[in-house]
Amino acid sequence: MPTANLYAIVAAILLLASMSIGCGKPDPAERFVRPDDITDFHVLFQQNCIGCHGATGDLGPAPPLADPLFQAIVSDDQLRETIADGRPGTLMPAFEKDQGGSLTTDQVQILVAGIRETWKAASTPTDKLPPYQVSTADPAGLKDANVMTGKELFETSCAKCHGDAGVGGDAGALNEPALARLMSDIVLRRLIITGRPDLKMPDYVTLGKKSHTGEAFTSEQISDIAAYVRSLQQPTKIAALPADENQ
Amino acid sequence: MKTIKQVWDWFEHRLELRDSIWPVMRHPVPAALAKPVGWMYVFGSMTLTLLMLQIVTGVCLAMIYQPTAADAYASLEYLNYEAPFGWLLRAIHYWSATGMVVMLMVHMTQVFLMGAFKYPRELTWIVGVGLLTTTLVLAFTGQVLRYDGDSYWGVSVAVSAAGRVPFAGPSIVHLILGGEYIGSETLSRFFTLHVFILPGLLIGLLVVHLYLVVKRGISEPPTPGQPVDKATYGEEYEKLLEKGIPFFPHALYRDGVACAVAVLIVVGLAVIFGPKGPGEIPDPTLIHAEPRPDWYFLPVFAMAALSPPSMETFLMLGLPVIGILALVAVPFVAGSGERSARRRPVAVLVVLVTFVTLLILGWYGATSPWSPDMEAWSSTPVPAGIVEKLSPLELQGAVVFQNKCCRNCHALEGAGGKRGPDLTEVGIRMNPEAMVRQVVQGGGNMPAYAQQMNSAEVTALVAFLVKLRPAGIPPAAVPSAAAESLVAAPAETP
Amino acid sequence: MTHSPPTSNSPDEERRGLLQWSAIVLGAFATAAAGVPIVGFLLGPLRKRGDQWTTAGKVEQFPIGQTRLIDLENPLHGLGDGDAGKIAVYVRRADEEKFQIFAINCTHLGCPVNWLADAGLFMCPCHGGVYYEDGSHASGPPPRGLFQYEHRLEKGDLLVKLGHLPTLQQPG
Repeated sequence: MPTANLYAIVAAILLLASMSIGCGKPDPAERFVRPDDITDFHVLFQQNCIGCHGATGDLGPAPPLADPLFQAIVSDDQLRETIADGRPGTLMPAFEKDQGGSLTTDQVQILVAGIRETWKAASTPTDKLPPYQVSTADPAGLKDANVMTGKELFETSCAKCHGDAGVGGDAGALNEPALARLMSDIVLRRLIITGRPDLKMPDYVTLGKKSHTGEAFTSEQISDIAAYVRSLQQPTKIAALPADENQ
Repeated sequence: MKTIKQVWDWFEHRLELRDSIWPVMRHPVPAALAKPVGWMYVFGSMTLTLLMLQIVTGVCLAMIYQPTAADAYASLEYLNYEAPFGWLLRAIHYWSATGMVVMLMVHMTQVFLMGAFKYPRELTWIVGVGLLTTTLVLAFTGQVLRYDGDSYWGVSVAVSAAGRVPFAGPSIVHLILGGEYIGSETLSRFFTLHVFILPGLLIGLLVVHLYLVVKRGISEPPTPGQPVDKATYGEEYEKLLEKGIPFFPHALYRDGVACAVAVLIVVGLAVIFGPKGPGEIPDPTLIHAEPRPDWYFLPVFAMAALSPPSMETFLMLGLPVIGILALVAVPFVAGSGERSARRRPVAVLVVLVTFVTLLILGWYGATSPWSPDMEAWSSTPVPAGIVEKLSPLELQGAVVFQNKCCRNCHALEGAGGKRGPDLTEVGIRMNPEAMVRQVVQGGGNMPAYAQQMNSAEVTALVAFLVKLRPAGIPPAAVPSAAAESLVAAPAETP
Repeated sequence: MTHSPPTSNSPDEERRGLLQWSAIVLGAFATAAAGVPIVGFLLGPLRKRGDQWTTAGKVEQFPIGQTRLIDLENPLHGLGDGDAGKIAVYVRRADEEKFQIFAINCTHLGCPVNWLADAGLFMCPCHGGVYYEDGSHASGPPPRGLFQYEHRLEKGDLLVKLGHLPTLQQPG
């Protein structure tokens, strides 16, 4: 009888479907969580950070967080402050609510702890590392830096990829005036120390060994190089555009 | 046995069902319905069965559901996670609603294509249009009762659209809201509509519909070349019924099989896919909402989004009214003549065009490419393959691209907003001057960024955009025709 | 209505005429007696409740040049509203004295606009309406700029007048 067949077919399809897809009973774990109550590091990192810092904390346009050397030189407070308040004047936004962001103080702390936990250095480095920040007043130590020393170090090491006077080579130019305004001194210093392992830029040890000194850069030498790079980026060269220059 | 007979007789003596119901059950229907074509006549019964399922599950849900803004969401969660079979009843109610709307459309299509709305059954069709309208309003009010973020902001959208009605707008807004803002009185209103007023109206219309079905008789399957003539149809139909078969048991059993299948499918879907929502908490301070209606209203949703601003109010408010009037007009425009779809190419074309339009609009509504991806700037990474090729300045440009939320509207390698053009290969379409102009001045549905970016940011951004092109292809030298259309296109198809 | 002709004097017919009229007149009165309160009740929401002043916060909690989303209690909120009795507004402090209070509802179809601080834009998630930081229309379908609420500064407090859901014909 055709109707019996129809029943059998429908029943079989339903049975197969329910076995393959599983039961539709809602799972309490999938309840909606208010944005302020999200405490999972991976969710917070995915929602707020990967746009610029890359899906796995590296290979994003902004400096990588998945960098053990960076994790070794930066302190919890410095990390927390950067996330909470952003880097005023640069593209790193403030994320804490008090500063106009969308995260609670607790969530910022979760991000700090998560970043530390996920990408901590495998072993405590034996050498004395150059400090992330030279001083609060002069974070990258540019005031006392010697541009001429920096020039010499740059030409013997950095210029191999960035070209003489930073006009660019395999690794692109550094003498762009726009860079002077977009990249803070401390980020410049950090990139000289850590390099960009995800983009094949070596760290201060390798860079230093390539230079005429043949040794890892010291904290002062890093400041000197940063000062020289800054001198290449004369901001006065920026073409005037119909834009608000002071934003 | 004797007692049963006595009891039966006692009731029969008072009810006289043998005189009232039995003739209706045994009323003759065209003999052709016993053939396979009879399967075309089951859709109405299937819709009715799902309606009954809706009523029963709805009554059950109302025992737990709290129609106040403060508790509705919690009561939905209670139904989902705590109440025995609560989740399944919610699921059946949702899938049965879906099934009811689907079967209603199938039923209407069948009636339309088989010309069953023609003389003398025009009123049956018109009442049917009333049933369709009531069912859709029930669907919308039901969606509001699933009180979550979609519901809250869905009401906000509905009210904003209603608020555009000339003169009466503000009054309509107040009547829908039951006050000045979306609150508990709003939800109570939708509850009352969904649970008392609309079901009452629906059942009233249904009684008239079924009365007409019995009074005017079930239409015979159409034969090409046998047009309906108002002068002779009645007589011919009488003759046809003389050779007819009784409705019970033949047609009714067929209906029974189809209805059982409908219920089994609905319950099966409910078991497999479960209930819909509730989604995010309906809190006006949670502003990351992206309300999307249930599938029934996706075409309307898409229509509102795709219409040019000048026609928007008309399309949102006028088109549904025109659609219903058009359906009502059908039996007056084509009340007689050929019934067979084989001789009615225009009717077939109308059905095809309608369904293709609804499907396309529904697909657009479901994907809603006009909606920006609000989280893309911070949660959609720049593709690593692009990042690896960038110089320091271009890296900064990529950060500008994310930070200024360009990504919310512009995708890279398909990821990101779809509102503006995908910029993965913009470097071969636009030259730097054109890019600067577009970024600074905006235009073509893009805001002007002159006040939002400084010159360094624009420089870096343009350096990044120029780099966005396949390896080995030089950057655009002049703004090409493609670049112009890139600027103009979004204005036409937002 | 056909009145019994005056020539007829049959008491039976007179009584029937009286009954007919009584049914009609009394029926009308009864319908009105029950109907007026019912219709009046149903039309109740048409009676407008004016917006009320409420404190949005201390003036100094709003940094100059920034826009903040603040959550308030809707002064009109009533029984059983729960979360729906809240209302969120954007407060922009342009300078020392100048404030702008924006409704979160997009002027296009009432979706909640998001403030993108880094881009300096309000963006609507529904149909991509965009507004500049001063609330003016930047791009997309909205027919006008963001709705703004009346406000004043008093003893170091920012006071805002709000309550109703703003729509095109009833802006802030």
